[in-house]
Order: sequence, then structure tokens, then C-alpha cells
Amino acid sequence: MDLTTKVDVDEGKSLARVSLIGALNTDTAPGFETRLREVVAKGLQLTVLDMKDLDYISSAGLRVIFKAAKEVKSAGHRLAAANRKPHIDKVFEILKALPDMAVFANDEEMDDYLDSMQEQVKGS
Amino acid sequence: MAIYTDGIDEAFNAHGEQFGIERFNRFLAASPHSNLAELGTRAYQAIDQHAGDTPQSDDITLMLMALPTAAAGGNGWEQREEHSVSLRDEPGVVSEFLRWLKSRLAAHSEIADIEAELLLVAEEVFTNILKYGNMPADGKVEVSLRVSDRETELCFSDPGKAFDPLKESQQSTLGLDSESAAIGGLGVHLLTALTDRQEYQRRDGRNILRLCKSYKPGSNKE
Repeated sequence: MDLTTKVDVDEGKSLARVSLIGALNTDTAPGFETRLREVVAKGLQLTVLDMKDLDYISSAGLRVIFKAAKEVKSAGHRLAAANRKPHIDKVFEILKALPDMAVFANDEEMDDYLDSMQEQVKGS
Repeated sequence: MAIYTDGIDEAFNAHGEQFGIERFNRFLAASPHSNLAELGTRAYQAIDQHAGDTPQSDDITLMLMALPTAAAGGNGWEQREEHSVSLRDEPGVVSEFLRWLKSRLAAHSEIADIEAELLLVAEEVFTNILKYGNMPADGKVEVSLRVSDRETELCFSDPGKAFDPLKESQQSTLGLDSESAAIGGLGVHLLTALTDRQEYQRRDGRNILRLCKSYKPGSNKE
């Protein structure tokens, strides 16, 4: 019931991928919050929480994500989730958590979103 | 308990093979027991299938009864496991408790489908007790897990101040966007959404919270 967090930052694309591996629960949430705040503080356009290897999330973990989503949104940036497992999806659904957060079912959807973001930047 | 006449185990097929006591025992052990009338019908179908066109040679009578097991104290529960957790406000205590519960749940393969949800519910309750219980220094939470052939029950007993999490926990409004969503008050929604029955009592200076969740026998993943 541990959590490993890996962060990959692409400054050029103003993108961070935060991979969660294991369980996000009451004990692991504080450490994850610290890492996530460090990433959010970079002021990147998009931060993606990659949940491909996330096996468990409790309300404690969701609270950390809620807080980060508020901070990111108030800065005019976006927080998204990707590759959620079905039982993780279920927790989000039950709690109707963050209906305005972008959710990518897989990396292809995320890449398409990034491409469209790049097009918008070029066009502006 | 199955009580039956020997027309069942001595039902012959065209090859002269009896249906047999062992075959009948295997059939009963492998079949869900939640509906005895259906079980009886399936038993007769199994005997018919074995006998084929061979004429019935003796009367076939079957009585099926659901009995509570001795270990359950007469309530129909198969097994009860109990654990006592000292409440310490230090990192890792929740994970330690969840590791114990996960190991006990894993011992019941029939409830594998609901294991993750039971862990979620248990974490919510345990964390609430830690946060709001105002526990004495030597306080312990007693946790019991019971599993029957169709239902699980988690029971938490703690000596903290009177607190009914079903009524007194902060409850946030669900479905709000990032700007409006309240950060707390999510746990009680998980408790009520992921369990079928919740019951709170205050007895002998302890909070007692009982949570029941049903499951479908025979639907666990391989």
C-alpha cells in the first residue's frame, strides 16, 4: 500500500506527466501532495496525472487532486487524468469528482489533445 | 444439509454407472446455495442428465436445509476474524491496518470482486476514528470481518467520544467543478455508496459501526 511518484517534465511543450504507481491513501497522500505542488508551482500549461499503475485511490487522495485542480485552474492552466483503471474510474464516478477535469482514456487521446493545444498556440 | 433417498445415488445410466454419493457431494459443493429451491431443481436435472433414458429404479426424494455453521454462533456467518489496532497518530498506521485487512480479505477468494471497495470503506472509517475520535492514549479500535455465503460485514468498535460518522461527518456536495468543489467531506459518500447497510450504535462507552456489503457467489475473478 505504498506509492511511487514519477515526474517527467517537457518544458518545450509546457507539459508535466506525473505517474502514480501503487496506492494513494491517507498515508501516501501527504507525500504525493508535496510532489504535486512542486510540479504545479512550475506553472506549466498542462499537468497530466498518469494513473496507469495506480491500483487504489481513497478520498484522501482525491482531496489532494481537488486542491491541485483548484490551484491549477486559478492560474489558467489545466490538470488532467489519464489511463484510469476501471475501479479508479468508479471512485471518481461515485463522488462525481471534478467533472471539468480532462480525462484521457489512453496516451493516444492525450497526444491528440496536446497536438490541438499546440495548434491553438500557433494560431494565437 | 441434504437428506435424500438412495434413488438419487443409485440412479443408473445406460452404462450401469450409479450417480453415486461422491458425484452428488461434488455437485452440491460446487453449486451456489443462496436459493435452495433452485438448487433442488438443478439436482434433479443433474440426476436426469446422468440417467438419460434409463428408467427410474427407486423413489427419489431430496430435502435441502440451510444450517448456520457452529463457528458463526448460529447467525449463518462462515467465518469471523478479529483484529485490535492501537491508534497512534503517526505515519503508516493506516497502511498497516489496511495491509492486515487486505491479507484477511485475500483469504476469501469468493469476495475478490468487492475487496477494493471494502478496503476503501475501511480506510474511510478508520481515518475518521483517528481524526475525530479524540481517543485516549491507550485507545484501541477493534475491527471484525465476517463473511457469509452472500454477505460481508465489517464492524468497528472504538472508545472515542460519541461520533456517528453517518450523521456527523462533513458531507460535501458532489459534482461541482474544480473552482466550487469542497475539498473535504467525501468519505461518508463512499461509505453509503459502497455498502448495502450501515448501522451505528453507542454502547458501553464505545462507538460501534457495522457495515454490510453483499456479493454474488461464484462471480469472483480467476
